[in-house]
Amino acid sequence: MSNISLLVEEEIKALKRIEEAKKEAEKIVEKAKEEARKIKDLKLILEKVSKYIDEQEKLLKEEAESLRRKYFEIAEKIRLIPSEEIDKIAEEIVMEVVGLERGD
Amino acid sequence: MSEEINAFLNEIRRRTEEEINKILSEARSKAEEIKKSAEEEANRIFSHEAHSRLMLLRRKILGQAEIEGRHELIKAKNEILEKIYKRAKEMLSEIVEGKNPQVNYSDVLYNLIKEAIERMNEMEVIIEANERDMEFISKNIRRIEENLSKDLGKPIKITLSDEKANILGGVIIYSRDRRKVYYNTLEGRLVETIKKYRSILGKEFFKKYLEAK
Repeated sequence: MSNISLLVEEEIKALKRIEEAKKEAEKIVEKAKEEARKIKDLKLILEKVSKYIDEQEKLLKEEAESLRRKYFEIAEKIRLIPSEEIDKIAEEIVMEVVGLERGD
Repeated sequence: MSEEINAFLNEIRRRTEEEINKILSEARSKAEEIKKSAEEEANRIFSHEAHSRLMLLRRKILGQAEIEGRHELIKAKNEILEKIYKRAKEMLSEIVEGKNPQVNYSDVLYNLIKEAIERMNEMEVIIEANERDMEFISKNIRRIEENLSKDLGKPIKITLSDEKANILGGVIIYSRDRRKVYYNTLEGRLVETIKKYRSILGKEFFKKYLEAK
């Protein structure tokens, strides 16, 4: 084989390999586009949102229960105010009622 | 094969490899970019949807708990206020029945009459009270008129109403023509004072008591 033929053959081989690489590149990009379509699938995203919301709902219910408990505990403490304290306030009020101390 | 040809062949192979690597590398970068962009968009949609739904849910669940909690708190406070009101009323009953040695109810009654007449700015009034107080006023009417005239600096004339009020104590005073009326009953004053104390109790008493616990 002449030297020129060798070079031409090598160039042809090179072009062929480059063409194959281009096809491979196209496949890579196409595959990525397909993956992207799946990633952006609204149905799938909304399913994920629903799952996330379900998880958050459980946490929120726990938080709500703790909030409710906090208020009920305070309410219970108020209910346990001893009668002596109630008498003290009542007496103060009564003194104002009979003492003509209204500031209006 | 000459060395020169060999060098040419090697050069062709080197450039080919370089070109192939470049093509594939660019494709991989583009693919990464496409996926990254898709993920960003998906995350944006997710965040937007999740955020708005979560906000609604949060408001609904925590809001309901907050309302229930506050309602219970108000209920407990009202129970205490009711106890205070009942106790105060008992104490007032003791006073009007003369069972509280610290308070002279006759003086209280006189002051209630005086305050009412002073506020009404009248010289002739009609007094209505419960049976017991009417009896007391009736028995002491001249002395009360004298004292009022002295204390208010003008002659005061009292007439007793034919009606008897169903009240714990205190008076209802009318102008002579009954166009003006002033309620100075113990119940009325108690309600007014409790109203005034309601905010004080809310801001100071309950808070102080809860902090002290």
